[in-house]
Amino acid sequence: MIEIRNLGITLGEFHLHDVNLTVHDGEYMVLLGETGVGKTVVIECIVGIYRQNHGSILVDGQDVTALYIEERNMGYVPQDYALFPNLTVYNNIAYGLATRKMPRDAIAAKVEPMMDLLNVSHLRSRLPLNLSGGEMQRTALGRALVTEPRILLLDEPLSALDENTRSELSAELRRIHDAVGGTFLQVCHNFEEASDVADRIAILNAGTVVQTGTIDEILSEPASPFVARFTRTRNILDARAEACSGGCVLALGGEHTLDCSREATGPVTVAIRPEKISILPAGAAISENNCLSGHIVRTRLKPNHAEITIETDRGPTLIAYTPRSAVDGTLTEGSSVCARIAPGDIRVFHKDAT
Amino acid sequence: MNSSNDNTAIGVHNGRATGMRSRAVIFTAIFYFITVMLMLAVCWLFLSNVDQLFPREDTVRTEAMDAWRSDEPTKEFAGGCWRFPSFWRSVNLTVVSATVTTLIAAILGIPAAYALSRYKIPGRAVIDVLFSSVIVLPASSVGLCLVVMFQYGPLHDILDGWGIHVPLSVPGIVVVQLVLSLAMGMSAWRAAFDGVKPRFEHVARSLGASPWRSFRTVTLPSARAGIFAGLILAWTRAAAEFGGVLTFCSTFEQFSPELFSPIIRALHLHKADPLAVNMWAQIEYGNVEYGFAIGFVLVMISALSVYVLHKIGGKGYIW
Amino acid sequence: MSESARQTVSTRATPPKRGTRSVWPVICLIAVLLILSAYLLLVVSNVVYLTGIDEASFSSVAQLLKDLRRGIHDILWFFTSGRMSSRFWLTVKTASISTMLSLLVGIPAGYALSRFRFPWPNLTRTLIDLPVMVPPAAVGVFLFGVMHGWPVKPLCEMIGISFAHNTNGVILVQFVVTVSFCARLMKSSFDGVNPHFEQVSRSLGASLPRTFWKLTLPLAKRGIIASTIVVWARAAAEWEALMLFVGGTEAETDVMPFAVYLDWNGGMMGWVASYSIACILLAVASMAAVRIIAGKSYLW
Repeated sequence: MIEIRNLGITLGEFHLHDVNLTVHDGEYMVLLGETGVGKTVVIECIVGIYRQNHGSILVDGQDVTALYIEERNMGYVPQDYALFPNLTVYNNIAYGLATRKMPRDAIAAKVEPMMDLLNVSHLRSRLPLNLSGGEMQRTALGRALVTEPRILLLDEPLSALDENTRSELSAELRRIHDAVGGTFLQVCHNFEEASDVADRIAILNAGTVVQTGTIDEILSEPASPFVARFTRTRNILDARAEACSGGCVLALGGEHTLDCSREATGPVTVAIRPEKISILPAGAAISENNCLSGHIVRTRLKPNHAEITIETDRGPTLIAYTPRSAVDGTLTEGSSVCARIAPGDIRVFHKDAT
Repeated sequence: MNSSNDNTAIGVHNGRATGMRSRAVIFTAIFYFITVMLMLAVCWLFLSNVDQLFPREDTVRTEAMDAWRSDEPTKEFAGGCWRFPSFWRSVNLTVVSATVTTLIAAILGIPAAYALSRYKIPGRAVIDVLFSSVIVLPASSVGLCLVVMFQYGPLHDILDGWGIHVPLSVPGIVVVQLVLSLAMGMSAWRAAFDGVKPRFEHVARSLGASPWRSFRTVTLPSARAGIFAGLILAWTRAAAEFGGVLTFCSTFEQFSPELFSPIIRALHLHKADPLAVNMWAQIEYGNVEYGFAIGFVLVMISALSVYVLHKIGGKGYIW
Repeated sequence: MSESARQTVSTRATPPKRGTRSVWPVICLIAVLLILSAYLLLVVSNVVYLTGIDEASFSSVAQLLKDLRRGIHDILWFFTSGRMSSRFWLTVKTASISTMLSLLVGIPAGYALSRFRFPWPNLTRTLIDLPVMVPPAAVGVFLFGVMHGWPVKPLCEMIGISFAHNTNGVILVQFVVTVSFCARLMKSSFDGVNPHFEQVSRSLGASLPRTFWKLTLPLAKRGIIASTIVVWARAAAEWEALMLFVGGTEAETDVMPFAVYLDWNGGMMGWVASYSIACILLAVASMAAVRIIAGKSYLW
């Protein structure tokens, strides 16, 4: 188990403060954040490249801050993989074991199954210079995994790859994780990429971890408007809340009000996930609760869903996702509809939260 | 850009485009011309003296007698320099001293360049400036600084106490050569280590390698071309050293052998001068064709090393 | 497959033991320290020699202060005398003129080397770099040969210009030694300017010369200024070729590096030490200026 407690470091323009993170054994954790927020610095602190200004890094309850890089036994796969250009794929993977002065056949006994697992056996005598992105990544993974590190740290392993290989390789990463049963911590800036592989996600913003949880938890209960925005909650609206029994009533501008099952008062920020908005024919507003009437201004077909922009009457603009198959004559641009949102699907934040 | 369409903005520009084209051609031609002239001038500088290798009848007759050679000057190619043991002793001394210098420079300079490239050393900028300034230091200054340091300064008293006498000796030659070849070598080694991303070392160390092991197995092989370039630069600079050797060690062709240690005598280093110094001495004593022959040898050494340097693609900082 | 992998990797590799600290970083730092102290000793011994401080000075504080005061007085005398300033200004004058001439050739040649294609690239590069690596003494000898050979000697006589034993010769030597060095440095300065800028500029309708003057030169400005300083410092440090080509003439060819040697032959060690210090100061100052202006740049 890796525990990061109140980690703080200042490094050029990066300021991390009070980063708290726990990675359990056998877990695939993803550290998510925007570019330039200092995710890589967290990884590099765990590896030991930088020493934190305060806070501690505990491995199985033991503080490793005073240890040198080579004493920590952390697997590290940097963004550019940093395969040693002078060594073949085999020797790259065997590097860590050779460093431990293992006999030659013992090294082979460990490296061979690892190369089989990663499908790089056919590349054994190639130099890294002429490997494809995926092959380089698998080699770098093998090199880090073969020494059985306490934790495998992956720094944006997929960002240097093109779109098609990326989805293949994230599935591959997950398969490898399950096969070796190791503890993985990956850094990533793309929520979709993270949701492909992660058991749990930690979101880093403004130099600290703002939320940790499973994908489901983060999607349904974002801790702040930032997390909501980061996880592609497209509808972030300003509203006024008034307390009522069992929750509150939100005034959204125009005459629109929504019932919400959460308690709040005063000016608030409202987050509604686009797939939680259901689109009903215009007349339904009278019979259904929590309906906002308006008309469609734009319909866009995406690969997996249709994105529909609804302008409510004198109120906010909403974006809703429906299955592509639901797009028919009634959902064309200009037609009047009403958007229904269940009271439990609305997330409210106090105005001063970011 | 189609010339038939003269209503559009492109058409308007078309009239200027032809003028621009001729201007570009003239500009390119002038620049090419200057560069080619520079190259030709270099060729001419080194090749127009080839005739010195073939002494004419009158030069042989009028030249002052060779002070250092017992036999008469001949009409042979390059004065027949290869037949004289003094020439080969010169080559021997140059090669041995330059190689020893390069070894010392590598032992000192490679770790130092690595430290300057990787570690946060206080005042690193100042150290960089001091080291690089050696490249634009006059050779006479270097030599005389060494003379003052070893013959007049406090160091002299200390070394005298130990019975070590550096100036006017073969180790003295190595000391002089070391100053410049270390500066040249370090410029290349610095560049070589800066060219290897520290990330490689971080990964190697995360896999359990010690700093030394990660340096030896990852950094050194990756920086191989630069390291070789530095060695070549250091060796060439050491072999080319003239002014410093002349001022610090003088010419010791005529020194009696008893002044030299048995090791030096065993290696036949005592009755010779480095090539560059020998060239100067021969010309001073009127042995022009012999001097030029040595000059050509020096040019060949430099040309070869520069060519190899470009072939392996070494880099070097100048500042 | 994954099953077998799980089996073989189930035995944990032993983590490296603690306490196996490497001495390698320490060795590296010691090497820096050694070189640095040797360099400082080299410079400081000159100053110590000039002040005349020796073991006897350390007998008492009063003696030391007295010797120090005398030493500083001596140094000031050397550095304010007319002999120093005349040679200093001669050095500055010749180096500046030869640097100017080098720039005239070096900037176009550097640009051409950086941007245009030449046949046999390794050979042309070797030719340009040759005078940088050939011992300057050999350059002096060869220059002597050229100046006394066929087209040049009659030509000089016709024009009535002489390069022997006068300042012209000094400038010529400095020019020959620095011109290809200058082209080399300019090439690396222009290499630092991305050709994309030029392509965009030309796509916007600027001619090649206009692009060069208005875009490439200003973009490479820092590099060019820094290179100019290096070339100047190199010219001001030239001695070996001078000695073989022009020989020593009072007030004509005795630029500072040469004066060091001439005065040493004349046995004036005080002057030798002060000229050496002046040369070192000049070299360090120019390198510091370069470092401030351009940061760091590749030569090769």
